[in-house]
Amino acid sequence: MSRRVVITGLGAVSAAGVGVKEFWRAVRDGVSGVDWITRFDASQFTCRVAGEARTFDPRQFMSDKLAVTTNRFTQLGLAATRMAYDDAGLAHVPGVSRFPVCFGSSTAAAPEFQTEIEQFADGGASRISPSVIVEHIGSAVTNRIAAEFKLTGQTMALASGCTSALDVIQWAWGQIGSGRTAGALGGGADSPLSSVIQATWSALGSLSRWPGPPSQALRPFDAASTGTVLGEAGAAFVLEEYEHALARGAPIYAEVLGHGNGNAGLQSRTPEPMATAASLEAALRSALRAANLDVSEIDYISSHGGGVPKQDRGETAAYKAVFGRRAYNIPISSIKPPTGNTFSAGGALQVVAACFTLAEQFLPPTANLDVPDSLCDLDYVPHRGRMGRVNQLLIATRGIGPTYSAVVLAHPPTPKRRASP
Amino acid sequence: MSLMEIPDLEDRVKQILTNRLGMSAAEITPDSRLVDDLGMDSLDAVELAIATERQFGLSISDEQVAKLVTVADIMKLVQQLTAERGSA
Repeated sequence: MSRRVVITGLGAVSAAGVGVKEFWRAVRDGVSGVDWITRFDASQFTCRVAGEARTFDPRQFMSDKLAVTTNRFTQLGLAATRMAYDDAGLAHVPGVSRFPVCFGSSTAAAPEFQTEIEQFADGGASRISPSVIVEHIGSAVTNRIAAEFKLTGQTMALASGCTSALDVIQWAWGQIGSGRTAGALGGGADSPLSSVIQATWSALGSLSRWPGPPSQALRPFDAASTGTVLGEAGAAFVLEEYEHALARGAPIYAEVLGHGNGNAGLQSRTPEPMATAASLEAALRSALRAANLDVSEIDYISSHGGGVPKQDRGETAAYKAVFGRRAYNIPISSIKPPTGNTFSAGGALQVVAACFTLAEQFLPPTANLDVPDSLCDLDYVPHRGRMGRVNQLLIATRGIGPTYSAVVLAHPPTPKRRASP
Repeated sequence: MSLMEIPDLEDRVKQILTNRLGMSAAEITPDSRLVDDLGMDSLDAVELAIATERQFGLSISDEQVAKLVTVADIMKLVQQLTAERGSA
């Protein structure tokens, strides 16, 4: 197996805007879409801010009927897929109907399910709609995408938390690498904005208690950071076999060189930040191994950087463990401040931003990083982005556990062929 | 048994259809056929029945749902069941 896998289409919907260009502009300029919560009554919470995709109108991307019958996470995923599908020019590609689709979602239709449970508590079984199970399960998004784009390939849904979207890449890489398909649609979609989920994260002690403006509440690696901020988003990508993309003259954003994951922190029962450090270190090492790259060949890291201090410190420790002294010379950024922590969609948004980083050779900033935490002393590209040579980059995402997944992307054409998947 | 006057019957039925099918009420007439014109599928039919039951405080059987062809049929069924309930 020596098939190479490339990314040929992108789509994104989030608090940072609708469409990949709006998203990238916000990420590049470090502009935050986090604002006061309007989706539910947040008055009982210390954290009253979130990343709501307020400019998203589902009817621009789907039929009126789908816009009223599907749930928010499905709409976000469907809209992002529409963008990626069009971006890659798939409508005229022979055989596209056999492409599989795989999406990650952590909370699926949790906000809508909360409403159903409240109605059930209020009026019993007679108040429950038969559409609940059809639209609330995690695979609702992939089922709807398959139906909308008339895809007869496998429909697959992953639920490995915030690492899901990178795990989608691993899955598709295996499908394409083994010759089972010439391409695949993938991504992540989550809309965790509900009072129950806010209460859960509040109880975990993981939400920001920032007293200032909402746009500054999510502060990865900052000494004043007190936690993360939740957000909703959908992001999608088209993965394609390199020769197939080349033959049809498709735009190629990046080549996928490798994927790795790690759960060492889960195994060792160590406290934070060591648990995060152990899992991320394992994920980084396995991704580099899969990509057949040396630590000296990574030019940039898109980190999870969720703003939970112990986790940000753990990530920093892992980068030092893997890259040694070179860790201080690798620009690292978190693109979470513009969108909030969007769970499974987050990794897919990182993939979108990474493709633009490669295309424009521009390193996006970590917004809101005023004074670094004393244990976070690497180059996080604070506040302002800058130009930088990037041939190969790493993307890391953290799932509850902690588990980590990492993906290596490269500028096309690649200076070095990857190992087979 | 006489058919009763139900306030805003047509608008309320149209609202039920709008909520489920997404089109505007202006696109729906009493003559609209549920499957052929409005694109209703089997799950929509179940949702329609439940929403109609809730809206008008009725109980509709599966057989009655299966016989519905047009929007006017829903209105007639609501009138009929409301009258039966009133005379019971």
